Amino acid sequence: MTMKKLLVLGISASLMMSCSVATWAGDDDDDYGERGEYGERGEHGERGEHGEENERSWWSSGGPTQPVLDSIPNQPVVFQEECGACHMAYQAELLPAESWKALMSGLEDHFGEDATIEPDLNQQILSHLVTYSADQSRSRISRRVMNGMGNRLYLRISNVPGIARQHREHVSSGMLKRESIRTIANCQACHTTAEQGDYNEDYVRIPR
Amino acid sequence: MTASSLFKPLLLGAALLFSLSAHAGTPASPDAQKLLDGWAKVAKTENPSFQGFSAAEGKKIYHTEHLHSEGEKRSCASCHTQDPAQAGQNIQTGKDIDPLSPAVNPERFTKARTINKWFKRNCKWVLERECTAEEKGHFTTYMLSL
Repeated sequence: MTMKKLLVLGISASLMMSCSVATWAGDDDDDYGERGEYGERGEHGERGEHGEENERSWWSSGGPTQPVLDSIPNQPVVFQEECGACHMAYQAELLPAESWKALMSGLEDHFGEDATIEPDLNQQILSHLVTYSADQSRSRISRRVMNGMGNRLYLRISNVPGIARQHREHVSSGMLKRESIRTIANCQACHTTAEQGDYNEDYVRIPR
Repeated sequence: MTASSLFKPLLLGAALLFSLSAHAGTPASPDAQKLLDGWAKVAKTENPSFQGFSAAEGKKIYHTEHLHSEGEKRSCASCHTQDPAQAGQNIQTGKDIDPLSPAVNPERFTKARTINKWFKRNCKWVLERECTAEEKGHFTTYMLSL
């Protein structure tokens, strides 16, 4: 290959990259939405974003460079310190306000464990969770959480119908038993970008 | 430059090496010391034969397995591993845990609020009850001896 050809190739590749960067940055919630593979292509589905999706995963296999959920840059320090000490600090957008209120008022029996924290910290964290909760957020993941939830109160994110359905289709109980995963609560074991709030399956890598 | 000024850094280095190799234990932080003093007082009132805290007792506590009512054996080592200097993993959530030993993780056992919080939570997880002042004192003494 000649030098000139190489140069042209390089330039067109970088042009393509900057295009898909611009596309993605402009529509973080709405368009990297429902996808055909899950058989539930809904109201946001049929808009040809499949092509964009593929392009995005092609250029950004390393994951998104910045958090995709509004709560993340606004998390109080104590949120990571308290919640994040034992498990991933699940983002506020993953449950509705009512669920967060129930969880934070029942920390003495937090799924069988005592996870009580000082009342002032509890208040601070709850107020953050409520502000950015799934019923307040317009993010894609929050819409999935709220979709089909009805009036039931969910305390486990993995039990929320919209989330449970996806995992039923893709996750076996054998996978969950792996030492590298252990539990369905360990989001970041497979969702490599979970801590940045991106649960898109492009970034799912199921460890052995 | 004189010979002695050349020697000084060498001597200093040798002294440093010696002190490192002789290193055993981490000095108690002000918070940890305050807690230890408080626990010692309580331990004396609760147990007349209390003789002071010992690292060996603490080590025993660290490794002792408790048969939990949920049917599994639990100990501190379940999550913190057999060697507190190693990184551990929350066996329930899979979350990584930084080493507990203050010798390799100097943040450990420095803040009273944090120390109390984890004793409360983790004693309940392992033993299904809170730890006594005596147990906390032994345990902390063991950690600071590492």
